[in-house]
Amino acid sequence: MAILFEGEFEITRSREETFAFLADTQKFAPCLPTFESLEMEDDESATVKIKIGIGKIRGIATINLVLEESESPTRARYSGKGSVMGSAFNLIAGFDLEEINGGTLVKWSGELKMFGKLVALAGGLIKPIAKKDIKRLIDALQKALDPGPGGQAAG
Amino acid sequence: MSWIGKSPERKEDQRLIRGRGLFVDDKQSYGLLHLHLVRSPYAHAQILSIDVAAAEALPGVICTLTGAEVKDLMPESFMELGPEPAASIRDYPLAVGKAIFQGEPVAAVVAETPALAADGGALIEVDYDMLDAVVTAEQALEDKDILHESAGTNQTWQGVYEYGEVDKAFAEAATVVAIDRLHFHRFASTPVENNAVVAEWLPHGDLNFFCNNSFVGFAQQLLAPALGISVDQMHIKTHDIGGSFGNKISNYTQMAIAALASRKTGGRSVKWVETRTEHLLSSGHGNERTFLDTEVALDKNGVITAVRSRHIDDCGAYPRYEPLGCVIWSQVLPATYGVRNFRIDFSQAVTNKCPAVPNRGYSRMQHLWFMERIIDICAHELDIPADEMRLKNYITEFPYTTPNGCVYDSGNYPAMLEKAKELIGWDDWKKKQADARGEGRLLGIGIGTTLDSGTNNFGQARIMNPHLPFSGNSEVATIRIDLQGSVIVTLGSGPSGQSHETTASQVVAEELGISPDLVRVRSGFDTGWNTFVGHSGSYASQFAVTGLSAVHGACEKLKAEMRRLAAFILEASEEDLEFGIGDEGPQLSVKGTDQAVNYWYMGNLVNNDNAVLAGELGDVTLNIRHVYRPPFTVPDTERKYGNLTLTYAAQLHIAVIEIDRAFGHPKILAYAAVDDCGTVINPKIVGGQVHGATAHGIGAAIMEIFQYDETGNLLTSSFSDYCPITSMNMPDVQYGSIQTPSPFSYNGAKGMGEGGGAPLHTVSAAIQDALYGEGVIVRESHHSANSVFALLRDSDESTGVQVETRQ
Repeated sequence: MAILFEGEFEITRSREETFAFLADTQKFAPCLPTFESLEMEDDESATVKIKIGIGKIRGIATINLVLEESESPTRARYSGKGSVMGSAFNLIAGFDLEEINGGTLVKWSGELKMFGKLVALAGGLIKPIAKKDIKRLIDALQKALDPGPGGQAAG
Repeated sequence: MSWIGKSPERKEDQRLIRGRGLFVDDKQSYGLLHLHLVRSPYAHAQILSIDVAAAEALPGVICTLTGAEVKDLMPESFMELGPEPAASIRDYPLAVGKAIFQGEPVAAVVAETPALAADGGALIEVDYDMLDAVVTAEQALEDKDILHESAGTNQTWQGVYEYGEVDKAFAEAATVVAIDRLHFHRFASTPVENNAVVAEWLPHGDLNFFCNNSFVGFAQQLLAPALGISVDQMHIKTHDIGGSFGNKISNYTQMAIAALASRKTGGRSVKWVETRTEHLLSSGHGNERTFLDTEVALDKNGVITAVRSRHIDDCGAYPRYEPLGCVIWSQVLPATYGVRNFRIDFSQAVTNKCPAVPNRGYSRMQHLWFMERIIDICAHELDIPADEMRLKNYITEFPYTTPNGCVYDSGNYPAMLEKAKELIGWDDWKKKQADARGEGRLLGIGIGTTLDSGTNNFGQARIMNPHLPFSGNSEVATIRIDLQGSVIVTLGSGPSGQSHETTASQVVAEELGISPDLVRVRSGFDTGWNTFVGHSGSYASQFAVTGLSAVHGACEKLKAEMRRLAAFILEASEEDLEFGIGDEGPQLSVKGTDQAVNYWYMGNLVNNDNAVLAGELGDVTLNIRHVYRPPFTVPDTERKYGNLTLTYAAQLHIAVIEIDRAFGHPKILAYAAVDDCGTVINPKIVGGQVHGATAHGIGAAIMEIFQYDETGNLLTSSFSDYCPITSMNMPDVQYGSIQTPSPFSYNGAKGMGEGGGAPLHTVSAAIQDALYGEGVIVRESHHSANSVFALLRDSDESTGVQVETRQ
């Protein structure tokens, strides 16, 4: 089962600042929905744990997250490989950054591929849940990068 | 009184209905350990590493096993039945280096409880590198991604079956109908108890199994060399199988894992019980088959004169037993029709899906569906009513030798059609159909004629692989009069729900002139007490022929000994003796006198008091073993010609189906099933098996399908998505039978039970009849509401059928 996703958003931060945030695993990973913990393996890779919940099927997924591409200040791309409850998933998430109106246009895209028991048991539920979680991730990134009036940008 | 054709109460029901059956999971013993399998979530992936440290550190976990360990422990991988390149495939019970299908076991955990074993499994870390999955046979034949590097190709078998004068028949045809693609879907069976085994590898080297394998004679031959022990060191017991439908022929791979796990624990008993999801995901699926570029030649009267086609079989990840399916279909080459000219190019390919295994109607059902589709498509295209089309083409003279040398023993298909029409109320439904069409409703009437070929000639395996040392067939039974005068029978086959105990006791009762109640047929199967041969097992609708012939032969020999013994005791001539029941139980008596000797006396004399016997009776033991061998010869492997099976039971079904135009839901309004399995031993048991096969087939036609996505995920691996049929979904079946006794079996029986997939043919035919007016040709065997809706939605697209009329 493959889920493709893409979109874009604008923020007022500079492209360099935005890149610095998105290419920093320690800042990016906590924005993942249901984030639990992060353990850096080296500069580019980390073990991230997140909660997974699809209906009554619940567990902790372990993801090996790797910063595959880091082209300052225009592009950052992560790949992830995870497993949970006899299932596996592969994740790609990329960010292309363009300067716009003194801020940054963030074009995001990615692919989530899932395999195994979860797909079999909850196949019909995965797509809507994944789409919701991707929206939560993007919302969290936007909020961290551009919190709006009264807020404080992360990083 | 004769016991043949009667329906005494089933002996098996005494325990099964009272909840006293013995299934594998009922087995308990002190210190029993439990096995859990860790399975690949990927359909195709390199296994980079397996870390079992955390699992082994979990309290209660005894040990783990990985593919690498298993490879070291096994002297050789399991034999694949196919010739090269299939023979080069290395097949271990745990994946070695690479997972080839989703759900393939990659590691095992042994623990004190099932829950601890599962917890241990969750702690095993497997690092995979995912590879592209090959999910269709057509894709596999492109060989872009090779599944088994040792084979070097995904095509595991290919052969051309050509008979008659095909090109001449097409040159002379009045009409040629071309069908671009037909597809038979994947489904399997849903037994009461899934695969299960308890293994105990004893310190002195012997190996005990309590399991539900349904073809022990075959399993032993594969397990012994792979585990490095002799067949005689392997003790296999089965009891109540819980339904096999052929699927459990192939659970020897899981038996091996449990055995190796027991060995690693130092000989403790290790139990493995498959969950339902595991069963659906990985235990074995029926063959999926695609029929390409089919052309049918017909004469001006609508009689089919030739068929040429290309068939591709998808056998999943490992061929194992499966290449036999590349030839077994040819037992029914012309189906029930008199076509003499054929050219079928048959290929088989491996894909990243669950391995295919024998499944009720194994390999023949797919071909019979193909032939029935041809009949209905041609009938509709030529505007010939479906019943007339069949009557024009049915074989009517028996015995009938098919173009490839098989001999159909007996049958009367027109009479079956007439009976089915009568049962369903054909004329009435035709009127209702016309009315419904006038109202814009979609109502179809479909006929399916099918064959249930029984008693294989294993020599057909040599057509697929000339080097295989298999041919003929055989089955064994023993019968004895024990110390107390009881009649004890053992069978070579382990039944899996076919009521062998009951029907065998009827045959013995018939022969000895006693009641079936007085015959004890031992339940289950035990290599320690049952005698058996390599062919022994429950498969291929053969028990009424092979099993009961063995019982009958044993009875004949026993009666001869009993006559000699009784003649000595009663000082009478053998010719004056008769079998029956007297005041003191089963006996032999002197006709017209009150002189008799009962079984107790004779049993005691032979076993306890034999010094009084005359010397010439020294060979009388009242303990008989008889092997029945059908009269087969080895087929001509070059011509692919020979008698591949002994008997041909037939079924003819008619269904009336209405399609909901808005949602595509197919609703069965009426259903009739007529069976001809020759002489019927027990009508109630035959009726039960006809109903079971009908339910199975309707479930497959409308509800059950294994659907994979493009990455090899099985999307239907629980009963939420793979919906087996229940009594709630079954239509009322109008059941009838005719009997055309087989001239090739001693009792006229043909064997039955598999059913030949008749409902699949029938439902496809009825749906096409309902939708033909909408421009639809049915080219798939599965008909969920979604798929029927898609047929209606896309009805303006090509039907994939071209008709060329020449005269």
